[in-house]
Amino acid sequence: MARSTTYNPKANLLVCESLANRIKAEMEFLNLDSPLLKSEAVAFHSRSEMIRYITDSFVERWLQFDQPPVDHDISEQRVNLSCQIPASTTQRWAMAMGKGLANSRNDLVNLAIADYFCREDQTARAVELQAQQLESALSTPDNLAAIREVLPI
Amino acid sequence: MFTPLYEVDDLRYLLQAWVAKNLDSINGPGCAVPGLPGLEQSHSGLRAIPLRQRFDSKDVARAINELRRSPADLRCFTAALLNLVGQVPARDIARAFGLADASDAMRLIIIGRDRFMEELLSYG
Repeated sequence: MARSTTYNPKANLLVCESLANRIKAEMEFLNLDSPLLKSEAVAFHSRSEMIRYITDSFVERWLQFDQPPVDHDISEQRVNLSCQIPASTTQRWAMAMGKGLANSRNDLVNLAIADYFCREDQTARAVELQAQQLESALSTPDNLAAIREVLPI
Repeated sequence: MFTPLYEVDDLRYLLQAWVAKNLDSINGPGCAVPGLPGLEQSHSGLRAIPLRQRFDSKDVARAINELRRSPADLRCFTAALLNLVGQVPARDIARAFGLADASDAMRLIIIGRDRFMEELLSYG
């Protein structure tokens, strides 16, 4: 994804406070200037890029694969997050809203962020389970079959 | 204790071959150079022998047996296996292991790789 540039129009998004806090924590977690992380194809370098990436993938999943958004309460108190959004992105988002994905851009962004963290949590739980199974398979001597079940080749 | 020098991809192929049971029959050691373990003579000079040709599944199992003595080593090796063979990105490992960020997970993965290689290479 291209780096954000200054000429993209700035938008003030209203995001649920709990989601905004998680975005902040996620930026710290992703530790974006870490040289170790760069080898892993991270798709965003700023909060604007992150929110755009999250909302874009959410919109595309819904438009192309008809994937429904997760059920999440987005009615709580919202805080202001500024974000640069290019015109082409705005059009794509408007198209999804026109087709009924969300009532407003703010709702769309809130649903997208909730959906992103729901997926991340699912991945974390799946990896956690895999790690527990693998560790217990490794602790038992001569247990190649169990290791292969956990790590399919 | 020594710091092993190895290629991460070489280790990845070894572990993948081990999990896929392709290491169960011993591969030919090639034309090893006396006094220089891990190297063989080729027409253009010395060449590193791939790990999966140097070691078989018994060697891998023996190295894991040594790691089993320390729960911390085993945890690091679990992270390394998930990353190398399971292709789980470091940041997902960080989330699952409750670490602060992907760099912490990467440190765990590197320790797991190095500890495994220390044990494996100590068999020659």
